[in-house]
Amino acid sequence: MSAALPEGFEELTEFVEVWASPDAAARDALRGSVPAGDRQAFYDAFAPRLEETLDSLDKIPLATHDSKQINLMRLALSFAHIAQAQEVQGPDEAKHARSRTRLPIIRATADC
Amino acid sequence: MNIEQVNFTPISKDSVEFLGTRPIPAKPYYDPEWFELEREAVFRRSWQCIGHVCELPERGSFIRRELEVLRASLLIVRSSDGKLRAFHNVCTHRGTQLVEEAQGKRSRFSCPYHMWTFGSDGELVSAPDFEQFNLNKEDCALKQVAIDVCAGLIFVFLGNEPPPLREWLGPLAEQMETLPVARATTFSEYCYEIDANWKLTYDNFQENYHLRFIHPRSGQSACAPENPFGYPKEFDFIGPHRTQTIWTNPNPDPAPFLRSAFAHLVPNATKKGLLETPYGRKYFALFPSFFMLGSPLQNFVHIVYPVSAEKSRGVIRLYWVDDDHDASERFGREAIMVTARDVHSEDLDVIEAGQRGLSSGALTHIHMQTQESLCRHLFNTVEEMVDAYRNEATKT
Repeated sequence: MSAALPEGFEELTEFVEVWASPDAAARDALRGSVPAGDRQAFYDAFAPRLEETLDSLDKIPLATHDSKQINLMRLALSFAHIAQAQEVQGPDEAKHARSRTRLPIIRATADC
Repeated sequence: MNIEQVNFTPISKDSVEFLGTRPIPAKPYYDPEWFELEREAVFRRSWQCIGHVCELPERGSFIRRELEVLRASLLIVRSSDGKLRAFHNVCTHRGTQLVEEAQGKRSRFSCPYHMWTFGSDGELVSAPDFEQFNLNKEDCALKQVAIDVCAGLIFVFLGNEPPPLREWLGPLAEQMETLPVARATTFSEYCYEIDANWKLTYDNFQENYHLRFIHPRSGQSACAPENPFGYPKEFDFIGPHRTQTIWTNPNPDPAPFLRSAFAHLVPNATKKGLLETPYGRKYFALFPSFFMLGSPLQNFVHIVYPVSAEKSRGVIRLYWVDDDHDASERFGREAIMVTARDVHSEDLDVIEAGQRGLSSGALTHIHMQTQESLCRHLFNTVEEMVDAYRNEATKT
């Protein structure tokens, strides 16, 4: 899939390759494997665009999302994982990461 | 510590006096002999939740579920007549397990060993060279297990003379049926394995005493100066089951992304009437090892399945009504799963530390305070059942 995003979201293109992950387990794995600085950079770039992203995507039925919209949706889903690290766990994120691997995600609605 | 009591009154000692105040014996939390008794006394004599009807949408849909505590592999099938049936996943010829897949869709189940083939109603359809046996096919059906459904949740009972499920659940049956789980069509799931006794594991999730120490960040919104431990506001004890009503923090401070996630889930939940349940703050603890949080935006079920005296596994599901409707709902559901899983993951290490301590035999007893009364009620109930089972065994 190309790294393109819908019009108006081009500035987030650099994050697609790493963060537009296809399923929840992969998104969780990214949370644990991407260096803290890169995680912070994605969070900083995406947090101010979250509401705009969802407003934009909500106008199109999920089943008809094109590849650009799918990329943007996947960034939003990865953001859910990263925001938990940045906004909730903060300095405890590294310590917390090991425990989290003990609870594999078997299934998420976004994967179905 | 001088704690200002505003808008919160802790559950009183008097209200749980009937449970007693004795120290609880430690051995049942690690002793293999006690665990052997629990297999028969508790788990063979209780309904156990093993899935949800949304996993069996069509005739021929099946799921395989393992109940290690009863050494049982079960096959749950939606038969050709549309009814749900549960069978031991065991060929009636020589006992070979029939199905390896965790789920699927089939009209026939064939044993890989000698190709005995059963219909979705469990009847033996064909068996090669069957005339060589002195048997009637009608006598060779798969062994059935009692099955029933409440709130969309599938329960099985592996012992003799199962009580009617709704009678066993009492008033909780109707309450659970007001929750999203009763209308769920899909779910998110994560699981875990833990080196700990099932009661010790389960107890962790039925007391908030540990909340601020083990979940200082993820549990922050549940605590406040007027309720620094985030204690529940009410307990209820119904036969072997129990509930707690979670205190509502009047000034919660959720993380911004979580606030957004909830806000994005509300519109669709409102349209579907999911917010109307009066039991959204209730935590259902069904005996022996089932939890459900009633919250309509995070209606999760957590079941602790015993494996051995010192091993268990947990399955946690968030049940949802309908597939993701739009991007907002998809984001909200993923975020809720992420945050619930973070909280659960923080508990595992400390539960195992507790198990190692108990298994050392250093303690003869453990202690439970008023706010750990649900743990005490679980132990009292288990002990009563084990004692009754022992007495019956002695008589026979």
